[in-house]
Amino acid sequence: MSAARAQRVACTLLLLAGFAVIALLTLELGPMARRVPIVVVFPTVALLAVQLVFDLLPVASRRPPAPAGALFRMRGAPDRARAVLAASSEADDRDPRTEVSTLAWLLALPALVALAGVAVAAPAYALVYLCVRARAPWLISLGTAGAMGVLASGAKHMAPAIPAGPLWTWMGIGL
Amino acid sequence: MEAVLAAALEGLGLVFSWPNILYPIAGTLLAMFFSALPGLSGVTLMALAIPFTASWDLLQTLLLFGALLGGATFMGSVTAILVNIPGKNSNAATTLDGYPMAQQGRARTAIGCSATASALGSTFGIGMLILLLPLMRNAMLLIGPPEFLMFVVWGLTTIAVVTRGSPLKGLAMAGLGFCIGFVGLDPRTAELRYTFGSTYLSDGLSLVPVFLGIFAVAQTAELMASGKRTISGRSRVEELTGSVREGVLSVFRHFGLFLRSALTGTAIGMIPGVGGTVASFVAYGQAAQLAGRERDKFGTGDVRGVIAPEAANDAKDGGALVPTLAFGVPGGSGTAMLLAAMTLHGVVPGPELMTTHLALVFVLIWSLFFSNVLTSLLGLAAIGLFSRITVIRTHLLAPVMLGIAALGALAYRGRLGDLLVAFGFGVFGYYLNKHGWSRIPLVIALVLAPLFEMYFHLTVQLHELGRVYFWTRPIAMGLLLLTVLSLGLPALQSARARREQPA
Amino acid sequence: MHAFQMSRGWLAWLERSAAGWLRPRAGRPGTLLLVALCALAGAAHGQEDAGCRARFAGRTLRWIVPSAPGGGFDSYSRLIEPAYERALGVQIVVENHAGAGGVVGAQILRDAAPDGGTLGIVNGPGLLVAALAGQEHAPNPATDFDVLGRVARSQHVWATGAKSDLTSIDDVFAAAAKRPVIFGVREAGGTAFVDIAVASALLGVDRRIVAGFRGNRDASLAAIRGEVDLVAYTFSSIRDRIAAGDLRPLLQISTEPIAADPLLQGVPLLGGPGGVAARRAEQLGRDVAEAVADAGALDAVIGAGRLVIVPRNLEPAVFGCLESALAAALTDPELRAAAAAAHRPLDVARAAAAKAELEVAGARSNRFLPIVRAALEEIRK
Repeated sequence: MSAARAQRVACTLLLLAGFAVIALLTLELGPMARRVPIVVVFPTVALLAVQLVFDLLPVASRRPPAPAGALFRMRGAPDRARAVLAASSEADDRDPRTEVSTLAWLLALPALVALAGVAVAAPAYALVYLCVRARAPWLISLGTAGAMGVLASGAKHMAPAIPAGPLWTWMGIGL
Repeated sequence: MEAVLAAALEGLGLVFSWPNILYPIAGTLLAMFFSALPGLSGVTLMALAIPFTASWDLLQTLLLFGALLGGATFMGSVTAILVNIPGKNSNAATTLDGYPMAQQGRARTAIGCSATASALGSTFGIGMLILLLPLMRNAMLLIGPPEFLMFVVWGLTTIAVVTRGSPLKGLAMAGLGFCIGFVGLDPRTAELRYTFGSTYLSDGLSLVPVFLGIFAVAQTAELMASGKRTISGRSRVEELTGSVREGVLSVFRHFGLFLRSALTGTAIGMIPGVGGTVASFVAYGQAAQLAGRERDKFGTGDVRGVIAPEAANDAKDGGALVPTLAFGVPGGSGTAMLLAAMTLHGVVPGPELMTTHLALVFVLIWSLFFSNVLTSLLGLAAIGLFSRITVIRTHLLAPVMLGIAALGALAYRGRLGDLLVAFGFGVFGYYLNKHGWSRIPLVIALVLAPLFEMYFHLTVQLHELGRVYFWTRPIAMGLLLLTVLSLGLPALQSARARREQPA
Repeated sequence: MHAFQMSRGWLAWLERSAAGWLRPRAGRPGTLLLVALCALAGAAHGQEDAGCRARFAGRTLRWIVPSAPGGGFDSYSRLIEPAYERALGVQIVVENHAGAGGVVGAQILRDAAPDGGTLGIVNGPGLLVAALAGQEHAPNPATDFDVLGRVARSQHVWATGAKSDLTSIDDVFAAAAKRPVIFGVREAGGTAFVDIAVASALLGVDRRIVAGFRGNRDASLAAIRGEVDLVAYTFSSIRDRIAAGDLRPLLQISTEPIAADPLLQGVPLLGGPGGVAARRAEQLGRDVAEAVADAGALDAVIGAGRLVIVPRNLEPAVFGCLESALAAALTDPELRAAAAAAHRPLDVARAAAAKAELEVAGARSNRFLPIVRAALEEIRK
């Protein structure tokens, strides 16, 4: 099984596992509270189980997915279906290291915000990202970071409930 | 009718006089700026404005709030088209065809089309509101939970139309959208559902951080990981195709579609709580369903996929004012703010407002109209500037887009949990997209699930108590028929297409 | 009682006593003495104010609002903000922390550092009722905070659609004898739900509750359309519908008239010796005194009001400063004028009175636990 296919199967499996947990929780609800969820959750579990089987089938035996209005076959459908498959395989071909690096950079921002507050984190993140990952010129990096700082300060002024981050409390600075 | 016309003229005179005109201009510019940032919206601005305007005249307040209500929608479409990030939840449907147009270098056409459909849609909605003014109280008394339920069910059928890729996955995503909508305190029974003991989750998963995650954060992750140099694939503005003129004219070329979508938006706007997101998706789905054999082009950069949601989204403002002015029942969060401002000034929605203060009602309406038109005109003027975004290197855009998404998530309620939800859904949305799980059925179900459950339970309870009989309500039955046709028509069309195919 | 309250109370007594003792024989010396005593009292009060201003000089206080901007709590907070800043010489930053029906904001207040830097406004009945309904994590206003004062009370009325054939509370009793009367509410377990469950049990009214409307206005619209018989909401929330002639008030859930409002002319009260609860108890052969006590308790719970609170264990001097500043702010003529213009009625009580009422409400509300739980069980089936 290729890495991309394994990832696809894992995605379906994760969804199925999540829904299985939801299904169990649904059974613990009172009759009125579970009236609509039960009608949604259990069929979805069944759909995901079928999808998992489909994902585990060898690639050659998989038919191209149907396009828009997918419950009904349409003229011209095969062209659109090939485009969908092509887009999907283009995503499959991505370098896993690039993907991991992307996710790391992505998650660094909320971590920084939680620590230092958005007024500091947003411009700092922009500066570091542009300098390190994008290798942008200094002027553009500083200008963009400055603009983000102004925006973040403005938002904090408009919505004072935005948390400042515990870093400053630890450092004994009242922000 | 004479009284209505006289009040309309009086209101028009009040709006377009000096210095009154300054208020809608200021309101429009503020709303445009605010609504350009995902997560922040005209509603936030209205909430902030309420205490400031407490000491103002009622006239000044209505001039400002009409503009704030109207000026917010279009800018959200611009980000939806350029970077696949809806500025407001109600702009999500515009991403379906607007962003592919930007990717094809046709951002100017898309924005031109959006601006025109917005302005004309708003005009239509306001026109319908004026026509309904004498009838609105009676109209609101005719529609109740059964009718609202059928509107929502009709909206859910669009999932069948807009789902791309595997139908199995599409339905599963709709199920997931429903389940996300179930999280939190069930208001009917005061039971906590799927909260795992968390106070944050007892409030449910709010649409704003979820949308920010699924669209803004996931899309940015996609740009970061794809290695694409620019959004449009072009490096210079000169290489972009399409034009503003093409976009503007496209609305007139598809005028029937525009009218249907605007009518849909106005009607859905009248349903309290349903809002622009539903209106735009329903209009989009309807447009795709009625496109017949050309349905397949929707989602690939078809200009009709921009006209329909934009027209509906702006037409709904007129519809949303109907329950607000008739009974003080807000159509959505924007009209809720408007209602709060009116109450602060001692204005009571109802018969008195519609008779004694009708001129003031028209001040609100004309201010809303002015704001929508001004926003579209300014948007058209700035298209050149906007379209440059599609040729900026994605590496330069990414930290800005993420920073704005983080700001939007935090500014909404000041809760760190919203930021974590936004980025969590961002990662989740990235992988969903990568492996062919369409986000759109999830989004439609997420928006409609709470409404479906609410109106379903109310209809069933009231039916059991003998207070409503579903089968004797003509509007509900008409909507049921519409729903059946919505599902059945594509099947009929595909059967006919198969029959006509050469052997 | 806190030291500053005691000292001020003692000074006031001294003032009154001195004035009463001196007046019959007042001549120039007596008058001078009275003036001197008043000056002394005023100087002490002024010194206290000056002391508070010095203590809080240059500080910025957080004012927590447990709801989104634009709502009732936010409006009251924005009205109080400038008056409070003037009274204490501080800067106030209003922070909106909406969530879980006010519980999130209340939790922030409960957990804030007790240094006088955080105060806020909460929904007294909402939190009391949350505790009754067994809502997890909900702080108890009677035990988890210190109360600086009450800003306003919001009491309920029962109202029906104008076209309904229920024109009085007696019609409701007559209808309930034949079929259940239907109430519409936004949510099970909320203040309106508790009002309906307890009051209908008290009055022996057979009822069904339809919960799940989007808001009180949607439920009111359902009553106007005739889909439900009655709604129960704060008078100020539905006043505009009553004024427009869409709704008709039938009962005030109170022991005293809610407001001197012509719209409530002739609308009977639930509580009090001559109230509907007493009359109905007599009709049904129940204990009248207990019915009156229960009605009073319900009034105390529902009418606990919008309370300004601080975290527990503040230094007495700090508490005293914040409390007296609030009292001064709430009696500020500019604030009163602005509140009247904004149709935000004030029903002010100082810390001791508000806290005492809250404790009574908290204690008495335990009587309603079985009724509320039974009503929730019924609705969950």
